[in-house]
Amino acid sequence: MNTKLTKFAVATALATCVSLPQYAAAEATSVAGATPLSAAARVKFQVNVAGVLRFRVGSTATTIDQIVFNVNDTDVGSGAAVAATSGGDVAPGVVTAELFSNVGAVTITETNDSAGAGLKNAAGDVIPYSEITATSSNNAFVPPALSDAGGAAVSPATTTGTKITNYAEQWTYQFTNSAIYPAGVYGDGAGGFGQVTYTAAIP
Amino acid sequence: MNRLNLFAGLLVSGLTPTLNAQVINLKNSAVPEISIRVGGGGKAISTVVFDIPATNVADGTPIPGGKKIRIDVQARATPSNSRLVSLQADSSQPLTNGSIVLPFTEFYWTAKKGDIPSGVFNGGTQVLLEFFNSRRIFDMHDYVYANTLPVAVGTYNGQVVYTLTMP
Repeated sequence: MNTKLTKFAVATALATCVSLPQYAAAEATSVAGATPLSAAARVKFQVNVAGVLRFRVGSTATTIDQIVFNVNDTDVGSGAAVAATSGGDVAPGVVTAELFSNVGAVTITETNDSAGAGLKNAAGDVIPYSEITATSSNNAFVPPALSDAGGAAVSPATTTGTKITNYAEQWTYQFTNSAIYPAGVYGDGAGGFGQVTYTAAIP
Repeated sequence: MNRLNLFAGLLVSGLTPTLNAQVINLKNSAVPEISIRVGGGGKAISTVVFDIPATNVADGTPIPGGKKIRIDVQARATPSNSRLVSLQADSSQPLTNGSIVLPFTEFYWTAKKGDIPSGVFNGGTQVLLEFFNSRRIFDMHDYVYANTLPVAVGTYNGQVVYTLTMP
């Protein structure tokens, strides 16, 4: 009986020795004995990432781009879209559109300063905002359609997982020229009410 | 036989030998020995913290860690210069924030002296240094988060394992 117990103990001891690692995973470790030898130590890393929502349309900082469409007399109401002649940080009618969020899905909403009236000239004539359309270099990140009342919204898909939205695109504006409007200068700097505001928000 | 029984009894009762953290001074002994220290010493694992402010998230601005880490390795065996000792870093397990991961390839370090050279984690196992016994080498590493990846808000934790081996 004693012999059996001794054999069991010795076998257990040997098994324990074999299963022991050759190093202890502490910050400082030393080992000695028959080679090969291996010793390990670890260092932890922690990264604290703040939540952020960045949104840019057009020029940087506080500059507001003014996009100008000149409709020639031969083109008035022709239905042929008119490209912008000036304005935009990339090219006439073309603006940078960047969106970054690491918090969750983002919604972009358009509003304007016309209180629902649309683009006016000095005489009080009106061109509806729906006459101005925009396309994007990436169909996954398009601007909301402009409207006199405002409030149209888009929700671009997240680009990574459920929290990351990261787009760096270009939006190009054009005047659709679908109707005949009285001569004049419409919008900001003329009859007023020509400023559109895009607001990015995390619902 | 009695001594054997006593030895076995200690192990069975759970009193397995432990390796205390310590810095070994080279001494005149025939027994091969290696030691490694990463950080402040003792058994606690040092933590390097990186705080990414909202204005800098993923904008490529390098974010330095909060502390420098001392890495101290030594290897002894006879005769001297007979064994090639290797120091490796294993960064294969990324930092995690729940199910979201952040690879260690976003981190690099600069060495104060260069004895354990500057480098960047490769997201796997990499050799940092090779030297012949019997020597002691130490350096201070200053870690930096490259901050180039768009990462979700939150706290990410991970660890790198440094391993010293002597054949």
